[in-house]
Amino acid sequence: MVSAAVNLSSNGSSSSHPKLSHRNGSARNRGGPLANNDSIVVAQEREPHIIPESQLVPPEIHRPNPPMLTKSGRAVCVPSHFGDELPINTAPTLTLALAPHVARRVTLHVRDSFRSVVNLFNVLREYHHRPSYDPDAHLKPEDLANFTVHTPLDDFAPLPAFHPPPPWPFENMTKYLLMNWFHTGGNQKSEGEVNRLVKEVISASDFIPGDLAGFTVRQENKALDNSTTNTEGQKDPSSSSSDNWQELSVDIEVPVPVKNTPPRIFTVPGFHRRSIVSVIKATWGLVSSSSFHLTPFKRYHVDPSNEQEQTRIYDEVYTSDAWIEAHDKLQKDPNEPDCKLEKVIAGLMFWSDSTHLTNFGTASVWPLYMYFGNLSKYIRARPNSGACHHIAYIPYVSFASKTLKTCH
Amino acid sequence: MSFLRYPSQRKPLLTHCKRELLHQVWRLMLDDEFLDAYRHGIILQCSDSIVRRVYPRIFTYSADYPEK
Repeated sequence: MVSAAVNLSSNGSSSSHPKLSHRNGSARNRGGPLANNDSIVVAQEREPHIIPESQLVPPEIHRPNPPMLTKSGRAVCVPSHFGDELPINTAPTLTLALAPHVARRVTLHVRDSFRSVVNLFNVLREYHHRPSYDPDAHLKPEDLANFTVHTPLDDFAPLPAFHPPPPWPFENMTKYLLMNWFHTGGNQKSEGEVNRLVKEVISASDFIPGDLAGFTVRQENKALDNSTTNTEGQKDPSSSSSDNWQELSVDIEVPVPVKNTPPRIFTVPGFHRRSIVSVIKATWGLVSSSSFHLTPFKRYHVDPSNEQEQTRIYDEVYTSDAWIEAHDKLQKDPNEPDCKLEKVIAGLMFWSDSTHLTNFGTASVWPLYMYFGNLSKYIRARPNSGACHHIAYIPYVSFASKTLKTCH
Repeated sequence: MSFLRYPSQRKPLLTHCKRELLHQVWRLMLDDEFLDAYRHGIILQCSDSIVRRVYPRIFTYSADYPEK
């Protein structure tokens, strides 16, 4: 590209000069594109040419050196290899002009750092990314203590205020009854499920309340069970149950004590598993997910006597360096196409230990549990928190079946 | 042909089988569905009814030696 530019410019400029163009056509010109050679030829020529004044000065780069003259006044003919090739300045400009316009890509990572004020215990939080949701904002003293907290406000609790009669605060009795049902009884009813109940059941055109006379869940479940056994004869073992449990068999390789023999593959049946993604999806819809921390932060203790002295507190998974680094990296990673959603982490914590089920006998299971690190350990570790999800039951291998003893 | 040439090989062989089993179990647990969620996240509605893209990340794994 550059060499082509050199030729182009030297030819172009020489043809623009009438004198040079004349010599280009002459037989004495050996065809060299070098301006220097041309100038020497010019010096040898004695032909009078009438050239307009404006064209007398050739372009800057082709200005010939003044010809060296001998004492007799004859021009010295310098051999061609002494000719100096003049540098040409146009090539880089041309290259720049031809080069496609490339905008420099600058990625700017904005960290919206945020520091909370110190609390009663001189503890503060430092966020790298400003949190969009603070689950601790709704924490009550009862959630932080394992005993009933008696707040001084209770002593002065006002008498229950007078409420208007039932449909209040809802529009009509239907909504009142439904919301009353939602807020009472078991606390496993999620908003989504109640919405689904209204949309898919109560609002359905073929939903007739009169058909529910004598309805019990147990009775209807029995009818459902009978119908599957009647139609299919027996249960399909591979079909997943309501909780997406799957039963699989695991292939393991056992080496054979013979040279150059590939390992033998044994199948261990009875591995029960649940999809991790389905557990995450189900948990995110539960009430307990309101306590999930989505943005990691560092916790510091500030010395009240010297505010410069800050001690890092390591207490939760979501205050750990590992989570902060993972969160930072996630924010820097390119987004999914056309996705502007906030990116957060579901912190998975796996735990596995073989458990004996009875004190007598050998009944035992080898479960694999999963916790969410998004949940504070003070909630997660409670026995009745329901924060532990069992995701797999690993079968046992033993020589009892004598399969491993002999290879058939 | 026997897998066990000597009775003393019984324990190491069982250890090997348990180790193989646990690795295969994890291979089945971290399936394509999980890897897809790990790379591209899953769109979930959080309890504050804001939809976010949730990426599962494994932070801890505590278990005793399965070989035992």
